[in-house]
Amino acid sequence: MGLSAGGVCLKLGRKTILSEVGLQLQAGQLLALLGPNGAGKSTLLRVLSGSLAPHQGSVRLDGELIEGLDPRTLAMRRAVLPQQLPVAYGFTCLDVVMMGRVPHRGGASAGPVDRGFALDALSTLGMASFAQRRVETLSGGEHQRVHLARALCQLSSPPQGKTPLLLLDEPTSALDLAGQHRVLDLARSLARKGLAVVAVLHDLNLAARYADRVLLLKGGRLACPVGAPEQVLRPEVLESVYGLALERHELAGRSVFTPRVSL
Amino acid sequence: MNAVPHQLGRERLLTPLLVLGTLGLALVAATQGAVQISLAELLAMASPEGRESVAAQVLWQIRLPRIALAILVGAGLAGAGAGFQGLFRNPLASPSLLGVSAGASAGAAVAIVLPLGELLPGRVALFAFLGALGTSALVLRLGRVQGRSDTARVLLAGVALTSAASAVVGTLTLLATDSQLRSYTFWILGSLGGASWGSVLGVATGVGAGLGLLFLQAASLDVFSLGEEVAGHVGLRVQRLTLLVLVGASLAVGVSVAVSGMIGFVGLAVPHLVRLMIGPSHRRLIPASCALGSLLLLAADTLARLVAAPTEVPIGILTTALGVPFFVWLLRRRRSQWV
Repeated sequence: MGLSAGGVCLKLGRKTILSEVGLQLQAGQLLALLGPNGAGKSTLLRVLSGSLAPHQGSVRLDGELIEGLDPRTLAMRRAVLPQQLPVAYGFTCLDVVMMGRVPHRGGASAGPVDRGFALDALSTLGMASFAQRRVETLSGGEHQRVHLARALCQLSSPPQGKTPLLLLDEPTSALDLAGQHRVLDLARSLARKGLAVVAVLHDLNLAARYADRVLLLKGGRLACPVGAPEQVLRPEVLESVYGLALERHELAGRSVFTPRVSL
Repeated sequence: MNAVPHQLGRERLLTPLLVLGTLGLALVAATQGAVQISLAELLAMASPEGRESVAAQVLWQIRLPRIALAILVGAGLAGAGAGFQGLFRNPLASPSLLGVSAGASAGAAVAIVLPLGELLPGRVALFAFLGALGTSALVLRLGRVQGRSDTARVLLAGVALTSAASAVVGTLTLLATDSQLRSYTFWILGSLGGASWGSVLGVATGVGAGLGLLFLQAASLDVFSLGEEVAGHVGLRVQRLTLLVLVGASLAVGVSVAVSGMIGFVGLAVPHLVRLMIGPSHRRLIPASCALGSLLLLAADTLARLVAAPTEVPIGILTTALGVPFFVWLLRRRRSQWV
């Protein structure tokens, strides 16, 4: 049960963006997607979300082909936090979070149940007091948290026995240091509650600390098989991927990466 | 005003209040004009002999259809404006700035000039609708960069298509016969003067269908304000929504333009004002925009009839005179939304 992808290839025009990418992710795990700029991380995330169909290969959620699911069914089981978040001018934070309930309520208008889920999601993100704030008055980090709450709200009542899948595209990009740790800590605790979580990250140290599995992309291919952080994040692999010599230090049982030489 | 949540009362009350205002204004408009009708005469029309009076004829044959048409066209343009603004996620998206009105007028010109036999109002409306639909679809397509709608591109595409539409109209003017030219000139001046119950019925059908289609998409348009990508992620069928909104808005604009010519700025200013008053939710925004559009266009048409009587000022001039300062204000606003 969970997310699986095999032999995923994607071309944009003549350019190959992804080639033979495969992965397995169990419910309960957090997978970090790592790689240099342009390696295809965001594209892979879009393929995993079902927004982009691969030219070859397949993506399955609990064994079902993701492209075979209709948009609403898929939306009840899979939520995405994109990198770019347009501002929905005039709407309150609560309005935006409640939009996560759209696939669950069909044509019906939002009721107290939807409101309850939305308020819960806002509290989980520590944003309960922002419910009536208009989204255009928020800072970048607050806005991102509202959208994360929207994604949580979307997954708050998945169909029985199905794995909820949460896809995060650079969830730490708009956040300060404390915020980055808070959001990844949340992502991991959500995974522990039974979600499958995929997060595009840039920071090796964050990935080493929070991820259960790491997928390292180089030029659209897996740089090495998907595995636990200590298997994938090896200095020699990282050096070939980033073109930068790195050292791994063990500090209080955690891996920390630093460049070996100054540039 | 940011931190204050919209008051529930205002959201609910605006549309009924505007409708009442429109009805009141309609009553005034019905009595004013070259033939003044007093309230007593109006009441006397209830009796059989009163129905035969000149005043009753004027009221029934000329004024009431014209009032009805103003209400319908105002609702059509403003409701379509609300739909376009939601679809393009842009407060400058309006039938006139997107080139949709120009596209509709080019379509109408084709219908008037092409040798297709007798000139039927239905054909003008159909061609105007097709012109509007074609232009709005093109603007949407040209305004996209990497799957996202880009404000600058959308507006530039609108400029380009407006020019293209006027080139089409210009070419057709050369080809037109004298009588066709007269029909076209009469039409493009923008007037509600030709109103009859027949045209009212036709416009009511077209505008009603277009606005109904838009209103059915209201909840989805709210989700759409999170952007196409997120809307897709929460399970919205984005392409279907886009198509339905384009068809609905183009129908309302096309039919309105076909009957009234070019009337600018109603579709731009009205939804924007309504949004400032009651917030962005389309379920309230669309009906309230229609109601305010009706009220404003009826007011403008009544002024157009009265201000320089016995001559009539083209209504398009009046709405533009009000609309241009509004547009400038919109551009210069410091807390600029969306733009």
